[in-house]
Amino acid sequence: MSRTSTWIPASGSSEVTAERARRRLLWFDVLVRLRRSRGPAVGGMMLTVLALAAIAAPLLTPYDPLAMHPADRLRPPGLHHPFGTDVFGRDLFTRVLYGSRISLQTGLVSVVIAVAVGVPIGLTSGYYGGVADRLLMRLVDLMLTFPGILLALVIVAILGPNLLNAMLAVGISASPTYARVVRASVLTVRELAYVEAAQALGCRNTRIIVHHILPNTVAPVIVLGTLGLAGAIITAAALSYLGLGAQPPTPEWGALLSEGRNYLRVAWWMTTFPGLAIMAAVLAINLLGDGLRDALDPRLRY
Amino acid sequence: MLPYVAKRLLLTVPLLLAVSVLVFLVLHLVPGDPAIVFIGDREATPERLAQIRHVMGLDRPLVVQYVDYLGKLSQGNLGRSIHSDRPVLGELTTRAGSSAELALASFLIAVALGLGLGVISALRRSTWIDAAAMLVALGGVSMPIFWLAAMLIFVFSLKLGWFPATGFGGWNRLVLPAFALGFVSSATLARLVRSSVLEVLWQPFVTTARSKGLREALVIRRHVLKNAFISVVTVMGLQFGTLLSGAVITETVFARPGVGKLLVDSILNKDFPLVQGAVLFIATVYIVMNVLVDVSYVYLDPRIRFE
Repeated sequence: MSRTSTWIPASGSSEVTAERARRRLLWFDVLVRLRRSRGPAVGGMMLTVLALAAIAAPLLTPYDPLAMHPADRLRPPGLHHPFGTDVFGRDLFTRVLYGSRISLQTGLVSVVIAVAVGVPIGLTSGYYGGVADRLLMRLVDLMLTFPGILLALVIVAILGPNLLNAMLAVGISASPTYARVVRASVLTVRELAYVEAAQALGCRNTRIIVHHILPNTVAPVIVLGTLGLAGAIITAAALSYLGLGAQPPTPEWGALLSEGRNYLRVAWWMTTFPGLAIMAAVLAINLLGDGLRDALDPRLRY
Repeated sequence: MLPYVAKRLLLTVPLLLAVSVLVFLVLHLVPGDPAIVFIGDREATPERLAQIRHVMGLDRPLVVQYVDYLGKLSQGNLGRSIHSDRPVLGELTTRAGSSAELALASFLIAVALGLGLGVISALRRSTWIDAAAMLVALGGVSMPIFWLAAMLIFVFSLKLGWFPATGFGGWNRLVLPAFALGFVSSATLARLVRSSVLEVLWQPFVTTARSKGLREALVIRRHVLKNAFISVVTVMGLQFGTLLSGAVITETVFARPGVGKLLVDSILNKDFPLVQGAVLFIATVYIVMNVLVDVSYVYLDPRIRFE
């Protein structure tokens, strides 16, 4: 900001157009940086394939994910059943395919919940400071005292085990990280001249937060959200695996692994393929997230 | 030095209290009457419910109940399990050994693997060794621990018969769970070690050390690794949290009688006193570990000592 401190952004002026052009350039820059490295491209491609497969699931398989065929039970992988069949004779490829719909959606919803809870806390805490900041940050500290899956377990214990509650649990337990990161970027943005200008113009606080501060926290939230999606898919699958998330016969990936647990000796495929599906999705998202982080905000590295 | 440690310890008191409030509230946050939650599947006559309410103190104000809870807590009284009717503290202590064994063994594996992979890939930057090590680490970050655990059981215990798949006792029952948990944790560590070693590698004091003719091995050991480890210790402390929560899953897969498996079982059984006890136990261990990590900085980084 080399301008004088009395500079006030006047809407419609050439400065706004210049600002827009600069922003467009920034995003273009991000795209160029993303394309330059191989990791995010591979991750993006894998993720696209997975998402397309999830959407087109009914076109890709002739079987129903829930219909049982006792005559075909525990068939090893073969021509008709590429991933084999489970103990009820259901085609495992079909179940993994339909499972990608559930697992990807679960991950997405969890991240949306985490953003919806964490970002407003971070914005309020960072912008208003004072007592609100101290109270909210103590709450965030308290939530971070429960390592990893523990907070999600507590929430599921309270709400009861099912997929919806698992999403809530994963989302809420991930939200403190978003609150922390958003607060940190608000603290720097808050002191900038254009925020002061908006305040001098008499803008309401909510308007300043939504129009001037929120856009500046988008980059770190995108990075966190992408990497968080990977974590959310694994945590939700873990909850389902423990019997605390999706319940049978829902073909969620973690629940599929849980079903395979007792048949490990006779049907290795029931455990192997759903696990590989989780790994492929998480790997793809991590590759994309790492790339996004490097391109958008190198400060977030570790 | 001592004032710093004392201050750090003092700061944990309000945090522990806050955790106890949250754990205390768990029973009250469950939708419905805590007395009905408590009675579980058993028959609930109005008289019986009223009696439970009175015995548990549910008919008194929440604050009084909390103070009462805290008083019992200070005497080590965590209530009784609904399922087994045994004291919660006893249930926890009989299982703590198994969990501590698993946590320690997997922590050692995580540190050894993480440091090894991280340092090698940083020193051989942009070679195939670096790429291979980081690919292993990325795989570890992306791998669900329960899947790795199941695969290890399939290969090493069902197919090869080298190790027993479940249970507790003896090193051979520890190998598979410790490796599963340790490997997944080592992945994050390896990525961090690599980047912090790379950061230190180009510092002026490293160039100075080299230019005064020090052997490369000494430069790495004395100047690079020692400085890189300061940030690594922080993450190792945080990783311990990942390890604790990973233990919950690992213990369930390997049917190890630890605190983590106890927690999952108690959630499934709706055994709330046990849920509260296990959560309190794990959170307290995590808080204490973080204090130890903070105190260890003082030894690692003289700059903090003189602040």
